[in-house]
Amino acid sequence: MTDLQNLSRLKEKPFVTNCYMLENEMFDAEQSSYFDIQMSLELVCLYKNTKYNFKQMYFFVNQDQLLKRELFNWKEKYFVVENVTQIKLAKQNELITKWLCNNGIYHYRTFLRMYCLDCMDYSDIDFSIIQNPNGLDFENIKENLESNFDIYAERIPSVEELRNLNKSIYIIKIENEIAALLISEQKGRTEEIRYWLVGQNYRDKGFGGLLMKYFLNKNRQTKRYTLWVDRINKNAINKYESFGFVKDRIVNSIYINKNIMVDKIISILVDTRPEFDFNDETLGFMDAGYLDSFDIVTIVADLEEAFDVKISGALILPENFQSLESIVNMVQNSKNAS
Amino acid sequence: MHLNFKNKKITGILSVLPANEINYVDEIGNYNFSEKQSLKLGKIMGYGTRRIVNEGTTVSDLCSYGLNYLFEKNLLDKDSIGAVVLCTQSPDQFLPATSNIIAGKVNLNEDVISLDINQGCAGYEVGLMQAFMLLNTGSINKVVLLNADILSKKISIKDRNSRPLVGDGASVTIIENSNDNEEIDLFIKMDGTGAFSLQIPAGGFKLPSTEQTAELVEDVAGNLRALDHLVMKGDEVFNFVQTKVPEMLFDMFEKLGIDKTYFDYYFFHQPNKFMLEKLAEKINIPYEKMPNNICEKYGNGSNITVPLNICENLGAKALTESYRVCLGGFGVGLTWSLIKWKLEKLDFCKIINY
Repeated sequence: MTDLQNLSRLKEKPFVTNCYMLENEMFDAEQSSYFDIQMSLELVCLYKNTKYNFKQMYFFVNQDQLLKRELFNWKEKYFVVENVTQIKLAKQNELITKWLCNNGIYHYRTFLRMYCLDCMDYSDIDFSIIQNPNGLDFENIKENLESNFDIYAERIPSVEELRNLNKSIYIIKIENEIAALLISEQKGRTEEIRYWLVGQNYRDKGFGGLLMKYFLNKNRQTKRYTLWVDRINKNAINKYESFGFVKDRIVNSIYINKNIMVDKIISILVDTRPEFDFNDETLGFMDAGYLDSFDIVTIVADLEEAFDVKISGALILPENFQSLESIVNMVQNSKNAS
Repeated sequence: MHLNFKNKKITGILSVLPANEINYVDEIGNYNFSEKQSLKLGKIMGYGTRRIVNEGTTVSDLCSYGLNYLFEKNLLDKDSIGAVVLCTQSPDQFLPATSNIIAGKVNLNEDVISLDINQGCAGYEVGLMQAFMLLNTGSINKVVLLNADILSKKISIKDRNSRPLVGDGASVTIIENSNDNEEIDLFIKMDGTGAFSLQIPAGGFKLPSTEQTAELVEDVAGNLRALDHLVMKGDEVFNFVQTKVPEMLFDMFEKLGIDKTYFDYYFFHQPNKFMLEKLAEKINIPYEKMPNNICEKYGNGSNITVPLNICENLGAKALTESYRVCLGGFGVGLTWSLIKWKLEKLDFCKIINY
């Protein structure tokens, strides 16, 4: 059977998916997948390459599987799962989250969609400071994006993709340094803001607001503006609201597999105590003196920020910081409790 | 233990803070940790400035200064006082009781009862409980509750676990009999098996201070302290607070038939900002309802954080408005306690410098 036939057979029964690609975007003329594929009677997974060491995973799973405890062995070591759904489908989303969690794929962040149908008139503002990028700007933009946005959650574009987006990238340069940028992408009759960023040293100078006004002014004919924003980024949400954006009823839940989660936890531990090797699973981190109760405090704050979770005070016990496994479990227990 | 009282009111609260202010950032170099780590910890825990007494200043100095201030400003009539209750863990001497020293300093008459209570983080609630019982005798109409600690003198300057937390100060609270039928519910528990989770090992009769007990020793985390210094098992204390306090609170809600929205404020002891935020999250109330700004501004003054919390966050508003408050203390002992009370318009509610 071809890859497409396998998928078609699965689709004969009620199924759940996070994939909205068309068949011709997934399969070639011989009905073979363009992507790495993993198939069984209950599950078809497509793993799409990213330019990083992880893949984007799309799944088609028999609906009955969501309620079963059957565990799957995933083909890839590092992958991310995105699931765009309506808020009103909360019950089904909960089932999917639980099923993924049982299979070692953990909720990471949730992005809200915001939209704006009508914006103010900004035509009398002097925008002469704003320009489109050229030459080495694209490399610098990519570096800026990588250091300010999350590679697992934000789909950072390559330099090549940035060059293609050239006309919808707006930047403010100060002494040859990119001080602020706004990147958008046209999707049908909608203009989607992909990134909006003001460099650390250039905040409170009005650059961000100027870029947004320029963007809205330049695209006055657009019927609809949209964007995605991390639900915990209250500052950004407030700023978007000040420009007339309102929250939509659509969310993007992003999940990471256990290996990514463990790597992120290790980087948090190393940041706290750079002198120790936290890859050594034979040690109890607390017993070995790698961590003390005050390290725990900073680690909890970092975990909460990294994984969009509030860790219950009652779980902040030494035994929950003894190993990578116990930290993963604590984060998951906190997620489940919230 | 659940105790119920009636016909009592607080008529004034005064906090007395040493004018000497220390900044956490200026002390980071004392600790065996990187600046980056210490700054990050400071931000999360709410380490900022704190008030510390000068060499030679004692608990009786702070308390008598506060009392004399109230006498001079005609906010307290010396002859109306029936009893003085002092809660402290830093007495001037082993004997006599520091409350007697204070009574002598401010010239209280011979009919005034003076009592010392050794309590810390729950000292305000324990002191109030004692004041209520004295008022219940029928012979006493006004009790002065003094809460004071100067524990900064017992903290190693090289102990990042405790040094940045601890502040000094005193408070004077006036409690009187009243015709108000509003019920006061006090919940209190103690667990002596955790007595050594927070302690000063040397300096008492069991282990008197010597040259040896003054020697600094490095712990596994890199802090240097001596047996003469305060030492805290941070993880044990944290977990105790995060489990026992919500338990007691939910039990109180159930017993009194109220819920979390009943209170305008939760004025709790303030060990640090992180612990208070975690408690507020557990109870699911906004951070603003459980103020956590004392530690970062004045330091954790043990006995005084609850009255100082009220002075700082209500201040003059307490003179014109009434508030339903939940007072909470938890820590050394181990002791934990809650009081459901209505703060009626006070005669004074302020902070002064010593």
